[in-house]
Amino acid sequence: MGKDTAVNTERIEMDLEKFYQANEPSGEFLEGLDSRLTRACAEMKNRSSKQVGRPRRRHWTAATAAATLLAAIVMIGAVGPRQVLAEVQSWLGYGPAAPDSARPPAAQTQSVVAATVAQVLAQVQNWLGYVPGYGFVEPDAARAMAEPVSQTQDGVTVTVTQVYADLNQTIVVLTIDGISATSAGDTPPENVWVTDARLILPDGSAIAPESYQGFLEGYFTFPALPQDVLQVTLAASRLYSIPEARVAGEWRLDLPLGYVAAPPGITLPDVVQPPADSPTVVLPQPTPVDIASNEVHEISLRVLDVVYTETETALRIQFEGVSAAWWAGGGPMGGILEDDLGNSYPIREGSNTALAPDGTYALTFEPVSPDARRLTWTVPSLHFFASLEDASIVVDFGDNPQPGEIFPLDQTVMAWEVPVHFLRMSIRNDVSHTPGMALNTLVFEGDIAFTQDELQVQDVQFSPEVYDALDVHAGGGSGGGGGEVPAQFRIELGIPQSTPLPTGQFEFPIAGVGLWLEGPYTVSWDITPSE
Amino acid sequence: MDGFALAKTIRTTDQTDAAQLVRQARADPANFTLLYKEYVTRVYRYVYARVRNREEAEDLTAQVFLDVLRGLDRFNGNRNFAAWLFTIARNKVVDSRRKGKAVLPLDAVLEAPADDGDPHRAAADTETFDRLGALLRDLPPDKRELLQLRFAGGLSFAEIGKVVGRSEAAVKMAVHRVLHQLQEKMEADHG
Repeated sequence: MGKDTAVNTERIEMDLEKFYQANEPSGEFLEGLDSRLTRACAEMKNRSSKQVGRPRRRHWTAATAAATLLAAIVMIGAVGPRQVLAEVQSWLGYGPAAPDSARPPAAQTQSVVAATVAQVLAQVQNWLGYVPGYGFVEPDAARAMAEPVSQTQDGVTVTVTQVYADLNQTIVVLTIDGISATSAGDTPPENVWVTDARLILPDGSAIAPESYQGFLEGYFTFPALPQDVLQVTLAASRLYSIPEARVAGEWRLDLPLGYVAAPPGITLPDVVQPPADSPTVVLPQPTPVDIASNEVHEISLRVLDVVYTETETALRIQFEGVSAAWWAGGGPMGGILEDDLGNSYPIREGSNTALAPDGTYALTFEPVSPDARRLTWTVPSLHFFASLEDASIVVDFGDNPQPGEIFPLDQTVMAWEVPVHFLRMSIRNDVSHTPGMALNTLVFEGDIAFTQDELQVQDVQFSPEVYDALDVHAGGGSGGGGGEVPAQFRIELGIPQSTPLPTGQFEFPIAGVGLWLEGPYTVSWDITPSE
Repeated sequence: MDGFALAKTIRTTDQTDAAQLVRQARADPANFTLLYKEYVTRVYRYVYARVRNREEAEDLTAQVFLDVLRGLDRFNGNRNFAAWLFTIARNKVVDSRRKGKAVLPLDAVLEAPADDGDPHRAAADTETFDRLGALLRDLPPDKRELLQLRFAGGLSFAEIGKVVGRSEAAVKMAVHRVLHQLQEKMEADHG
């Protein structure tokens, strides 16, 4: 064993690297491939903009996101309260890993012990704060930063506008200014972000981010910090993908944290009270609105809270009357925010619209005028991906399916009270964009009979297992819409000819449909003078 | 001594960056070039290491990225992008071998150092490469592929595990063992 472990492999690793890395792709090849990909990208973009039911793929993404969100909700539902309880216990001094410095005074402890756990949890969960650039938070035993911190190198400034750390996550919100077309090199200036980032803790250990959302304005999500940490350093080796010769590579921003103070009127400070000599930070507080829009198709939108800050205005909203199996789509929900002075405020790029565990959504707009006294939010239409259970069609391919064949289907699937009628499937010979690859494209055609005026089925989605089972190389489709009755739809699945087509009966499970609800939905509320 | 103190110079792409690049490309296909530029050299090196023919490596690398572009919407954002990309590259190579596309007999070119026509390549390097090529040729294909994914593809052990269907720990152990073997043989040759 001694001989085995004594061998240092560093030399052979270096040799292997040199051996394999001697084979660089030629400049001519890279240039040619770059051109081909650029052309292919342009064709894809062009084709997708021509499709009537454009968001076909986006729906599939939405379905995946929906499944992930659902899983996240289940997990948070199962774990969250326990973590909150653990934290409360920790502050009280009888939970795990409560540092001495974090324990409240004995008198406070006694008063809290008298409160039931249910009351404490309810208070924790009702306390909302807002982190500009990120979204609504429930700041239970949270830490945040009092002032932005910046670093400037070679004319480029990275500013961490906020750090928010709670029991589950650490959010670092940042902006990048001063990127020019010259410094960005091959990267479009608007597509630059801080890369290779990590948070360095006081003990010298580092944690890596789980994700980054945004570009020049965005936020990192890191794992939760240890509970007694009140100082972290954001370190990053470079800006993506700017050559270090143009902008210095090493970034280090020291970020002091303070405990988030509870707002007045919340009895929670009796429980989660930071140590007396700790720095405290006040987060912007939401103003309750709680006004619902008009109802269209038995659905309405309720504005729960609004936050007004110098940098943005944020709404926390909730759908009412929407099935649990519907998931809100992107763009159209943003709508238009207008004030009583005639100003309108566009939705901010990168707005954190994700569904929160409590079923609410957040939307962020540009900051409203200080002179405005009333706001109106109008949403022209709503778009949902609606899951279907146990819906499928079956195609009998026979013994030897061939291009040019047409398979009559005449099968109807009910999608949220709307019949979706599959008329036929045909097999078409196609040429792939991949050189040398020919495709057999399965083309499904059908029509949708609208049974309700404002509710339209936008398109139809097969389940992902169809794509995997058939080795689908390229897919596309178009849906209804435009108010035509009945609308036509088409689904195309391109299968490489090297992959055998199915024979006999093959089932195509349907994941769901895109639903489009015409509005408009309108909500108005007063801005109180103190805001 | 840490038996797994493997070289730190392997260039891998940060997962956060990869996820960001994928998001950008999905939002706008025009951004796909960012993703492509991040990985093209590594994919090419891996494919070349497998097929040992420049023309075929270029053809397969191009196919890989065109396939990725077409299939990007099907990529599960929660998965590791590099592992997905190299799985596609690996399948392309396997398909190509199966279809008998190799221009030269496989044994004749397998793990030979690249003939880039550079007369200035150091003689010592040439000698090392020749010897290394011979040792790699003697390795079982699965072991050789681990090295190709690691040193040509620049994948992490976890990513290699996802490509070849083994655990990260198993890959790390296997790479470690094969490196020891190679190191010992190289030293024996020189000693």
